[in-house]
Amino acid sequence: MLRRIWIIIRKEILDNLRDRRSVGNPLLYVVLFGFLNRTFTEQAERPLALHVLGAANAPNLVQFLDQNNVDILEAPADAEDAVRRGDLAVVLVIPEEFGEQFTRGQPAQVRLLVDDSNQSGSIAAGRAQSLINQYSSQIGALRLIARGVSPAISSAVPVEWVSTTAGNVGANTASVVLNLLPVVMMTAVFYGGFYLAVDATAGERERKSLEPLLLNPVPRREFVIGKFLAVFAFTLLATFLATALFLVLLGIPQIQNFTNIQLNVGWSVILAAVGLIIPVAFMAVALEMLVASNARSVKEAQTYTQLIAFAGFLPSLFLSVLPIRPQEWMYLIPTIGQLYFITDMSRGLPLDAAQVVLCSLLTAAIGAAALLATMRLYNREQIILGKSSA
Amino acid sequence: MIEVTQLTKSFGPVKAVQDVSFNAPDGLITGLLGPNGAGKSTTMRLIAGALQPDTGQTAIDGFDTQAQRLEAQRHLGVLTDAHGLYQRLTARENIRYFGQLRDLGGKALEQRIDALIALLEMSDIADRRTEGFSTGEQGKVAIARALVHQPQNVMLDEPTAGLDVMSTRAMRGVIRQLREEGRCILFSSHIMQEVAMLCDNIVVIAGGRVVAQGSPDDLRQRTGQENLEDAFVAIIGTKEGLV
Repeated sequence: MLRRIWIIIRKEILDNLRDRRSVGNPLLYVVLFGFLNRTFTEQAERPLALHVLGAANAPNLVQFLDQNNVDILEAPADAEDAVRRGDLAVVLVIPEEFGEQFTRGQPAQVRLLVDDSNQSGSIAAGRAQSLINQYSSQIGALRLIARGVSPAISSAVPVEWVSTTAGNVGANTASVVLNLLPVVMMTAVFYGGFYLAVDATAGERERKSLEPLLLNPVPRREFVIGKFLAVFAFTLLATFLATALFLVLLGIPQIQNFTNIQLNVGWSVILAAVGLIIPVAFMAVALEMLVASNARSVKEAQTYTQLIAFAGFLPSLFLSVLPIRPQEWMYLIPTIGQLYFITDMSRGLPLDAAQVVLCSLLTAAIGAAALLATMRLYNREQIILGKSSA
Repeated sequence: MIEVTQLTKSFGPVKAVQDVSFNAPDGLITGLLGPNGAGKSTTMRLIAGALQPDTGQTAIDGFDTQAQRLEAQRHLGVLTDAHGLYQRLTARENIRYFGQLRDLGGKALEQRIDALIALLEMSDIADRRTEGFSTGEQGKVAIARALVHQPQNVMLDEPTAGLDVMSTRAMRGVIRQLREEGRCILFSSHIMQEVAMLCDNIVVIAGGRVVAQGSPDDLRQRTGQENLEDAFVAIIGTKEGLV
């Protein structure tokens, strides 16, 4: 039995390694995430290109911005329309009376025109705003000193931001990146083997090789196990690759210096995260195979498995961004539980062993149920006729 | 030896096979002849264990296809109507996969594959991926795959459909050789000349029922027709669907 299952696994892997699409698919996600990370991390420290209208009105402010990694560009006269049209993301408007108000010590207002619906626009605007605030408080402090007052008097309630995340330099950005780690893993788990799950089930039937295959004197469950293990292996590989690339990319010293992000997640945390994600991979592959085996055609199978993959990783994407405080019961829901475990771990919080075991068991149980249902389906003639089981 | 007893199978309201009984003995070529849609393929799929009958039994060398499916399938080699090869594997790898699934392996399996490649005159395509193979080339790989375990019973569903003259001749040669080896051969066709030429024993199916069976001479005698083609028309009542 084991020998035959191994034969089936070997054939499925060989067959699919020769298919550029199935190899390309997980690789594509890996590369996609590589890009996502890059743009994400680079965005923060790339020179900010800022269009300024009326730069001549505030030469000192403009010089300050220039010294702080901002590329000053001249904005067109119809700046507001340009932003509304989406031609420009952010425009800083310095009114003519700026100089006069500034010298008189009055608040000299500037305006930032932003299209909030444009995400990179709001990031750029945020950076511009904080730089201008910085300039403003510097000037304010100088003015107070010139009047013989200590600048300390103006900050009544200072706030110190103490990050408990591992790693202190750039801790803020690092924690955002850490939030992305479980999302990267979850996506790889649900999308890594999805193409293969369809190809090995609905694909095999559509190419009409399923009937001859099932006429071999082999218990049908062995075909299901063999195919499942092949897809599972691919999925795990894709997950490891995506995780490794994600960490390697952020672990390179040059990138760390460049982005100012120090990733201080220990190896034990990464290994534990991979361990936690394995039951999710088991569940994802089993569900995808069950749905794909039930579908009438490859197209239908792709549609349904894509829905599963989407439903699988979407909660983790949302929850990693939305500031929802996890409730006790959420730790037990497959995919969401694992998301919180990994996030908590990378923050250095202790895990509740009972929760981890229960959630992993629950996840694996769903996978096992799906696998058994697939085996049952393979023992019915519907699997050969290709009609949805009545 | 293939035995079919009172086999019935419906797909919803369609009665595909109704009360079909016949035997295909060893050392003879038994032909299932009938127009398209007569129930030939369904009967074969029931014998092979791909489908489950509503009532009735099929047995291969005495093993019931339903109750002892794996044992029955061990004694049977099937060429399905769709050849269904793995396009990203070579011809040799396709054959080897099925051999391995039947617990063959090592040198014995490789020698068997080489023998089949020689028999079917396909050494030129043996190590090419089957993607883009002609129908004839696909048929050769599929039949080699069905015969890799040297089954005592061989079932061929329309083995010559879509083949050119040379491939058809090669296929018929293989079928005759299987008979000489004393195997049981059951093959279906809607081509009358072919059945008349090859078969020792003919089962005529129409509308899901067996309408006549016997040797070509029996059928001629029974219908009083000199020509086998006229005999078939007399049996089925129509020429439709036969070639």
